Amino acid sequence: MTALIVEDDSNKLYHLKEYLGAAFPSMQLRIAGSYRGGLEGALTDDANIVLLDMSLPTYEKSSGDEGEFLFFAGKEILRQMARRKIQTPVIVFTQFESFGKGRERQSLAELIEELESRFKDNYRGTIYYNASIGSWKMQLGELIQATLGLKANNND
Amino acid sequence: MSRKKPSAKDGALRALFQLLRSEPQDRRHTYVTKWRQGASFREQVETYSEAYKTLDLKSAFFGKLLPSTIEDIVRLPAFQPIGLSKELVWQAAAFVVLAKKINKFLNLEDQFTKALFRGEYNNATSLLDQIEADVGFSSWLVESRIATLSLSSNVAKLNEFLARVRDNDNIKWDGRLEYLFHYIKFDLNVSPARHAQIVDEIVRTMRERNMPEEFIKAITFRLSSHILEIPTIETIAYGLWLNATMPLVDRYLNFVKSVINLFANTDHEAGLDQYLAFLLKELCASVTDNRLSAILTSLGGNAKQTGEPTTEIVATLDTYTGGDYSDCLEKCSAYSREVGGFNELIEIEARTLYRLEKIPEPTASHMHEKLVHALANLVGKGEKFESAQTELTKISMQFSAHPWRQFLNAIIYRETRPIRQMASRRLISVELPFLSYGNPRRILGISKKEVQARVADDLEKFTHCGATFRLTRSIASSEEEVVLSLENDTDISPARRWAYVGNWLLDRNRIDEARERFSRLFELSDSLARQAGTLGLILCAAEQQNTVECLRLISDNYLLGEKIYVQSPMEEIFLKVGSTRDGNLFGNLDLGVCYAIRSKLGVKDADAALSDLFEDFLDVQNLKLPSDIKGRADLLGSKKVIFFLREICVPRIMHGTLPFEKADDVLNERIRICQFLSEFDAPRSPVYAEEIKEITQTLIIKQALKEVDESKIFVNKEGILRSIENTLREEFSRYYEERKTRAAAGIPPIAPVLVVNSQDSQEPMLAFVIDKVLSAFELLFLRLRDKFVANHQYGLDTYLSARIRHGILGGHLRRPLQMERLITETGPTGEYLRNVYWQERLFGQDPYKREQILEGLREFSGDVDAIIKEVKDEWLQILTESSGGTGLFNYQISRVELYRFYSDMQSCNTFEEFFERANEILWLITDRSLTAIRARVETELQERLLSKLNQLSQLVTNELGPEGSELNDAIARARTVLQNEIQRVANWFRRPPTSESSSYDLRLPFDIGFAIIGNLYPHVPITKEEIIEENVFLKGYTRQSLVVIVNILLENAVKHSKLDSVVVKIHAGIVDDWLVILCINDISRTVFKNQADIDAYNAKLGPVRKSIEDESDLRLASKEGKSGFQKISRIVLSDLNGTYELSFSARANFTFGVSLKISKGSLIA
Repeated sequence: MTALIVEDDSNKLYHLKEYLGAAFPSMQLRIAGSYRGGLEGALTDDANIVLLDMSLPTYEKSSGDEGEFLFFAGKEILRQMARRKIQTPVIVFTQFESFGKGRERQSLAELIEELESRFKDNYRGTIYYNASIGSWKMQLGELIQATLGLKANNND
Repeated sequence: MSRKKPSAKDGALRALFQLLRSEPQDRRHTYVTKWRQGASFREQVETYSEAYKTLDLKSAFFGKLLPSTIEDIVRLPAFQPIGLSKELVWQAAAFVVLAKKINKFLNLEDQFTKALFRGEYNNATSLLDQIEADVGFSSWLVESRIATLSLSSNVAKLNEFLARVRDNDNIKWDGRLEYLFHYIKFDLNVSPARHAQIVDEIVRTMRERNMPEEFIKAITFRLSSHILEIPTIETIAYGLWLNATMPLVDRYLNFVKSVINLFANTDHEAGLDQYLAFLLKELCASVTDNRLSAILTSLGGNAKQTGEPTTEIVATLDTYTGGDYSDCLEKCSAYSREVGGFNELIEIEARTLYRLEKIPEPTASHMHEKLVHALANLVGKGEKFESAQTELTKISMQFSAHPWRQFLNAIIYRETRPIRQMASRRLISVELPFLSYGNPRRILGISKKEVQARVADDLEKFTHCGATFRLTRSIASSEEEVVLSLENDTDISPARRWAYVGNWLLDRNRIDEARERFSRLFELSDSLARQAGTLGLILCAAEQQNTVECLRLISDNYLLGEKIYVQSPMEEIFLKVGSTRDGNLFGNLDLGVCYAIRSKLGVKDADAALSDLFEDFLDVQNLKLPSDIKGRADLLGSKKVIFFLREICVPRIMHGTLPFEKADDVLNERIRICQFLSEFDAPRSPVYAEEIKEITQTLIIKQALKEVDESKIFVNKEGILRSIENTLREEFSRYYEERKTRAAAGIPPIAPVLVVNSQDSQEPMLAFVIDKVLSAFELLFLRLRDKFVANHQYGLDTYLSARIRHGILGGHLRRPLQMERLITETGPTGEYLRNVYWQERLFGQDPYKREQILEGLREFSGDVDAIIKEVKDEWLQILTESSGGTGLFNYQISRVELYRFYSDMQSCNTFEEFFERANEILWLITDRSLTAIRARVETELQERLLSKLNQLSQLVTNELGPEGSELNDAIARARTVLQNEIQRVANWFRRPPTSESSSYDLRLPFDIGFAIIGNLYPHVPITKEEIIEENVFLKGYTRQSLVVIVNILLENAVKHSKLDSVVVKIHAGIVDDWLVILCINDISRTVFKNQADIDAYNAKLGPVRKSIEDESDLRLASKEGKSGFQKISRIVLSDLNGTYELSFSARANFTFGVSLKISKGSLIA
C-alpha cells in the first residue's frame, strides 16, 4: 500500500508521518510539498490513497521559489483528478477552519459540502488537524480503514 | 350672491382638518398616512386642493414642497409606506394640484438640458437661477449646478458652491454626503466601479456603527446611481416612498422615472397597466409632460403631444434607414446645433459617424460631443469599447436625477448585454417615452395590437409613410408577406432590411432562413452590418446547439478587434461547453479565445479553464512545451495560434501546469515564447521585447535575492590582509626563520607528550613542550583568527551585525506573524501595544474573553521578541577564549587543535601560502559553527517559536471555542509560513559561494532592496519613484554592499516615516567622480507637526553626524542598535574601499532626505 501525502507544513507532516508509520507500518509514503508536486503525484503515481492538504504553495520549497500560495490547491488537485478520471481515493487533511479571502472565503463545512457534491469518485472525507489535540489520529485511522480496508495498529 | 351649499364631502374634509389641527404637528403625518390608505384619487385631489390653500395643514400633506434653502430639504419621509399603487395615487393626486408649478419647471428644465447639451453654460446657469427662484432647492438642482460648473470648468464657483454644502452644519450629514457624491461623480478619477466601491465602503462603515438598517437602505438607494438595470417593482415602490417628502422637483422627476420603469417592467401584477393609464390620464390633463403622454398613448389612452415639431427627426431617420449616411450626418449635426438635448438622433449620429469612420475627438467640456463620441465607440465595439462604456456609465451616473439618463441607460444596456437576456424586460419601453412624436420606433414599444394599429395609423399620416415607418410597421406585423416584402424595398438600405428580416425570422425560430439573411449581412462592407450579421449567426448557431460554431464566430470577431461577445449568449454557450463531451472542444483554440475573454472580464475559474485548455492543446498537438510550436509548420501562421501563445501561454496561466516543475521554468519558457513571437508577430515585437526585458529583470532579481541570502556569512579576506599585512608578514618571517633554523639543525618537530589521566578527567591529557616555533605559530595564527572574526571593518562579526543581527533576523522571523497581525511593537513606554486589528476582528465577543485573548497576544509579542533577542545576543555571537558568553560562532581553539593546524601548515613556506591555508582552516572552523547553528535554529528555535504559537492557539480555543476560528486559522497560517522562514534563516548559515559576481546594472541593488523591504514590512506598502541613470554598470564585488546600503535607507524610510504606506523617491547616477544616491521620503505629520519639530529632529541627528565624521567610531558598526548611517560609512570605507560624503536631514516640506556620494574609483565596471 502506498500513500501520497501532499503537505507543505513540515511540523504537520512530521506528525502525520509519525502516526502513519505507527498505525500502518506496511504503508509506503510518498511526499509532495506543493500543488504542482501533488498534482503530478496524484496523476502519475500508483498511490492507493492521497492525503491532501487544502492550501499549498504552487511549487516545492526546494525549487527556491514556491510561487503563489493557493488557498484551494487541494480542491484544484481533486478537480484535475476528476477531469482525468483518476479514481484514487482522497482524504483531505487540513488545519484550517476557513479558506480563501473575500468573496471566495469558505468555511470548512461549506468546503466539505462542495467536495462531497463535486468529487464523489475521489473524495472520502476531511480530517481536521489540530497540533495540540490528538483526536485527528483516530479519525484518520478510521477513515483510512474504511477506505482501504487496512486495519490501524492502535498500540501507541 | 349665492353661497355653495356644503356637501357631505365638505363635512368629511372639515372633520379631517379639524382632527389634524387638534394633533401636534409631529403626529399629523400618522393620520395623513391612515387617511391616504382609504381615500380615492378624486378625494385626494380635492383634499390636497383645499389643504394647499391652508397655512397650517399644507406641510402635513405635502411636506416641504419648495424649500427656499438647501437646509430645508427633508430627506427621510415621515409617512409610513402604503404600497405601490397607493403611493402612485397620492403622488399623482398631489401633482394635479401642483400642476402649474410643475409645468413651469418642466419648461425650464427642457431649456436647461438643451442649453447644457449645446455647451451654453451661461444660459444654463441663468435657467438654474430661475428654477431655484421658482421652485426652490432640490437634489436635482444641486446635481445640475455641479454639472454645469464642472462642464464649464468654473473651478472657483464650484468650490464656492461645494463649501456651501460641505461646511453647512445645518444640513444633516446624509444630505451633505449625497451632495458631495454629486461632486465626486464629476471627479475625473472616479470611475463607476470606484463609485460603487465607495458606496460599499460607506455602507460597511454604517453597518459597523450599527446604524438602523432602514437608514442604510435609504442612503444606499440614493447613492447607488451607477446601476443600469431596470429596477424591480419592490425597488420602484421603495423609491416612490423614499422621495415622498423630497422637494417637489425631486418628487416629480422620481415619479416620472418610476412610471417609465413600471411601464418597462413586465413583472408587475395584471391590471397595473390599466391603473397607470387611469392615473396618467388624470395627470396629463393638467401636467404637460411628453414622456408621460407617450406612455399614456402606448397604454391605449389619448394624450396630446407638445413641443417642437419632429418632422426633422423623421426626415433624418429616413435618410439613415435609406443608407444615405452623409446626408444623415448633416441633418443630425444641424439638429443638435439648433435644438440640442438628449434625443434619439444622438445615437443615430453616433452610428453614422462610426459607419463613415469620421468619429471626431470631442471637446472635453461639450456634453453633446462627449456623448456622441462615446456612443460611436460603444456601438462600434472596437478597441475603445470599454472606455466608451465607462464614459457613458459615468455620464449616466453624473446625471442620476435627470430622467433622460434612463434613455441613455437603455442604450448602454442594449449595446453591452446579451440580446436574449433583454427579452425579459421591455427595454424598448424605456426608450419609448423619450422618442419624438413622429418616431416610428414607438410602435415597437406598444404591446397591445389594437393600440399599436391606432398609433401606426397616426404615424403613417405624420411620416407620409416614409422608409423608417414602413420598416418599423412591417417588423411589428405578424404577417410574413408584409415582412418579406421589405426585402424588395429599395428605399431601405440592405443593412437594415436584412438585419430586421433576419431577426424577425429568428424570433419565429426559422433558423435557416434567418441564417441566410445574416450571412448576407455579414458579407457587407459596412462594419456595423457585418457585426449585426455576426451576432445573428451566433444566435442562429446557439439555437441549433452548435457550440463549436458559436465559439468560432465569437473568436473570429474578437481577433478582428471587435467585441460582439458582449451581446452574445456567452453563459448559455459555456453551460453547453461544460455539459458536452464534444471531442472538438478538447484543446480548441476558439474555446481558448472565449475563455481568455472571460478571464479578462474577471469571471471566476476562467483562468483554471485556460490552464486546462493550455494542457489539452499541448496534448492534442503532441507538444511538450508551447515554444516547440516553432518546429511545427502546420501550426505556424495561424492567428489563433499566435493568440494562444500571446495571451494564454503567459506565466499566470502556465504556473502550476504539468510541463513545469519550477517557477523559473515558466519564466524561461515565456522568454522563449516571446522570442518566437517577436519574429512571427512582428508588429508587436516591441511589446515582446519589453516583456522579455521585464522577465529577465525578474530572474536577475530572484537570483540576486538568493545570493543575498547565501552571502550573509562573510569575511572580507582582502580587507583583512590589507589591514594587518605588515605585522603579519613580520611575524610569519620570525616563525618561518625559527622553523628553518630548527630544521637545519636536524631537530625534529616538537611532539605532544601523552601523560597519565588526571584525577578530574576521564580523558588522557596531552602535555606540550614549550617551544619557540610553536609559540611563534600560535601568535601568528591567533592574531589572524582574531582579525578574521572581529576586525571592525572586515571581520565576520561586522558582517553578522550588518547582514543578520541588525533588524534582518528579527524582520524575517516576525514577518509571518506580522502578516497575520499576531504581533505588535512596543510603544513609547516600552509596553507592547494593544493588538488593535484583532481587537476589532473580535468585536462582539464576550469582553472578558476578548481581553484575555488580547492580553495573550501582547504576551506572545513579548515572548517572540525575547526569543529573537536571545538568538541575536547570545547565539549569534563570537566565542573566543577571551570573549566569554554563549556565542555559537565558536572560535575557541584548544592546544590540541592548534598543534594539528601547526602540523598541517608545515608545508607553507611563503606568507601567501600560509595566509591562504590559515584562511581555509578558519573557514573550516566556521563551517563547524554554522552546522551547529543551523541545527539549533531548525530544532530549538523552531520548537520554541511554534510552541508559543501553539500556546496562543490553545488560549484562543479555550476562551472562544469555535468563535475563535478566524484567529486560529491565522495562527495556523503563520505556523506554516514561520517554519519556512525558519528554514530560510537556517540556510543563511552556510559558507558563501566563492564565485565572483559579474558586473551589474545600477538599478539592480534598488530593485533588490525594494523587494526585500517589501517582504519584511508587509503592512507598510512601499512604492518607488526612481530616476536611475541608465547604462551604469558596477563591478560584481560591490553588489552585496550596495544592497545593504539601499536596505538601510529604505528600512529607515519605512520605520521612521510612521506612515501607513511610504513613497520613496530615489535618484541615482554618476556625477563627476561620484556615484550619487539621493533618497527622499515623506514623514507623517504625527512626527513633525511644525518647523520647530523639524529643527528639534535635526538637532537630535547631530551626534550621529559627528560619529560618522569621526572614523574612529567605525568600531561601533559591528554593534546593533547603532545608526544605519554609521554602517553605511563603514561599508563605503571598508567594503567598497572608497571615500564618501553623507548628509541627511528632515526638510521643511515634511520629508526626510539622504544624500550619499561614493567615490566612483573602483566601483565602475
